[in-house]
Amino acid sequence: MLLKEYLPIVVFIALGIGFGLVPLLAGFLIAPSRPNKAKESPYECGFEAIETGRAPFDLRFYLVAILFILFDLETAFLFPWAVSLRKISSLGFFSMLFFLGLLLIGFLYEWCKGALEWE
Amino acid sequence: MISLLDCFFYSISSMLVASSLAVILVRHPVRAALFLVLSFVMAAMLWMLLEAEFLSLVLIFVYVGAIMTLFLFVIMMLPAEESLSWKKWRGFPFALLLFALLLSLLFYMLKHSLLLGASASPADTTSTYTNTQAIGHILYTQYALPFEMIGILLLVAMVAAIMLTFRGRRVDAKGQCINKQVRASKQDQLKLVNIPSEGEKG
Amino acid sequence: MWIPEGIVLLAAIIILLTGLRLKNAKLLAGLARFSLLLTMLATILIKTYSWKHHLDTLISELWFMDHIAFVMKLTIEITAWFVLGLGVHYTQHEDIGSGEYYALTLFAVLGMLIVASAAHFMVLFVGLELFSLAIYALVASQCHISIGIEAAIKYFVTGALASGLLLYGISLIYGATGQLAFVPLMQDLGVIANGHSLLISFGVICILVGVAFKLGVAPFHMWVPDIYEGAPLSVMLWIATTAKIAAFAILVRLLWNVLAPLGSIWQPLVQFLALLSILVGNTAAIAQSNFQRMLAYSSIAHMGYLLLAVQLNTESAWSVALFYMLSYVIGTLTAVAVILLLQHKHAHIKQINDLCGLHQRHPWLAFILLLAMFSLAGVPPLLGFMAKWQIVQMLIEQQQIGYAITAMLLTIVGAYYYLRIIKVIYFDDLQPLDPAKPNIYPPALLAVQPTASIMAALCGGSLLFLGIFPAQLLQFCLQVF
Repeated sequence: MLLKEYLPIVVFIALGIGFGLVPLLAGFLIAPSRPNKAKESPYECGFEAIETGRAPFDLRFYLVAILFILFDLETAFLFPWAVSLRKISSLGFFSMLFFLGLLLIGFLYEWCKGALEWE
Repeated sequence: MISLLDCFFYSISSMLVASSLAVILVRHPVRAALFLVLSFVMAAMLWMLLEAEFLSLVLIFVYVGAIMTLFLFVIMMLPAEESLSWKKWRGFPFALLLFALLLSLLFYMLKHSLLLGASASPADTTSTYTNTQAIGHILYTQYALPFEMIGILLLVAMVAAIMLTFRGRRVDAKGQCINKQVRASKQDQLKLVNIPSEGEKG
Repeated sequence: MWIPEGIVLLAAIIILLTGLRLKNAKLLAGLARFSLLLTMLATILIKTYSWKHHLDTLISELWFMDHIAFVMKLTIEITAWFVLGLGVHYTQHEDIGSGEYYALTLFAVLGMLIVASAAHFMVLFVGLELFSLAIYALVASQCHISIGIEAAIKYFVTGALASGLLLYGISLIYGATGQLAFVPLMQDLGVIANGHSLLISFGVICILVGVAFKLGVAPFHMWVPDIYEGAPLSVMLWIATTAKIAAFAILVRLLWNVLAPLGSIWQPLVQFLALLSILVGNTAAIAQSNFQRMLAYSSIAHMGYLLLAVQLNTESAWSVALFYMLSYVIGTLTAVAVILLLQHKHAHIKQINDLCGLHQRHPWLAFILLLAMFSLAGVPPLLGFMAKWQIVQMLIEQQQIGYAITAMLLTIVGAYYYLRIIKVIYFDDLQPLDPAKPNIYPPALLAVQPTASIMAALCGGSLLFLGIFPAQLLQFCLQVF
């Protein structure tokens, strides 16, 4: 069965998780932990935190992320096409070309619009 | 008799349920997003068990790789008010009722013959003909029309995203203008001034 | 076969790219309208060609070329042409008429055309998403106005929920039958109509809820008033007319072309939706002081009447529903056309009271608005009356006297708020815009717009004409199904 081929990957993932978790857990369980108020408070010198560390992001990051997702999806469609290219005749080939052409127009548009520029 | 496959299925699906619950129960939005990542990964593993390899990898590729990044951006864009408080319990009884209703409906459905006709099972599961090939085989020929429509849909999404978030170039933006750089000549940039030295003067 | 869609796609791309340099809203709108004219021509030519040569009405189980597709497409194209023409000045004035705006409107039209001839769940869903996505963005096109943003987010979230429910229903039905194409699916469902499983009925319910969201009928109507109020007026017109036709096309495809054998599942639900919408729409509209909100509730009530015909699930009932849809669309188009013409430089017509004394300043516009209101209310010589009359007649024929009486009583309740507008137009005095400047009155024309005025007059005139001579249109609708 095909699934068996994935068994090494599962073992690998399990090992990875194990290596990540075991030291942490061990530290948590074995290390002495005697918290008191002075230890829990913010670092002993300096000021109390005025605000949280998170500042609102610029909208531009968001635009870049969306454009990234769209082209990411495009590549997701390219995989099965590449794998089955020999079987899908010219119709399949040209349907993908048309699809890419549409996204090319989108790319041209965003380029000319200046949405890809970063200041 | 529980096979290894069942064992995998139950462990993965219980982790899926747990991480999905964590998404809505955890207070910190960033942690909730990370739990969502975990549940996507678990769902991808479930699909892998169903031998839908391509879809499973696309789930990781697109959702974990791209969409969750966007989610995190959105969370970062929100004002830094972190703790979603537990105080708002007003809708809880209604939600519980709805939950119980949906759950009982689901169980009822599962009890009474789930599938009516023969559901389409993968016809060819030999190792030479993979899932990805099977998808590619029909997606670009038989379903070429909806495929092109998806292309148009992506184009529309692109236009809409730019229209809604792009505010035009800033006037005082500092950017590179290659045209200008190439055209630059020595005369424009450099100015030689003859400054008499101190010594000559005296 | 795909020439009309191809023309729209090409025009949308051209407008998108030329819009980068060209900032003239009038020219872009003209281009869009020209392409729509070409599309209409192509639609008609293809229909006559395939009719002459007896071509198959189904293409590879994905695409219908039947009468329903033809009529829906033509209606969508004509309405879109009117909507674009009426909105030109408004978009220019509000500074939203960029290339993206017109490109997205054409993409929305493309999605609607796709939906109208979808013969496969996948085609239907992608088409639905295409036009929904374009309209979400259009609603938010005035992104500096907070009420517009609120409307866009509400529309997006409810729309996404509706799409999700629809998709869930489709997947349940696919799970039960293994079919996604409409024609074989309908045959399969016909075979198992009596012994269907709970899985199928749950799927049908999910699909119905999804479509009800899109159509904006009670109890899935919460988004409608907010979006009508928050969206730019030209986009609101878009949602109130073309998007409703597209939603009706989806309803026809799903309930008539797929789920018709399962009528016993969805008919009682549609009856419930219909009665509740008529009740909620007509009573809530009375309390509105905002014109756009009132129109929103009015649309909810009208969709209720439409569903009252749909629930009969016979060929003639669907024809009457189509007839009713046309009457609603023309009536709404006329009403909003007048409001679009009346937009003032300094004050938009938002409240009903802004229309005070319209008769004294613009008697013709007042008369056209009167026709629209009378038609929507269902007052005799107009189209709206004929449409309501057909539905009531159909209900009585099918022994559903109770529904017929309820519908008529609630129509009388609904007549109140339409007549109130007429009272405001004709019998209230003009009120100055600003107490300090008693000479400036709100309902002043933004600019003289000959084409848009002619279009508004055309719509109003057709309400009257088709109301007096409805036979041709009715006959046409009867031949569709």
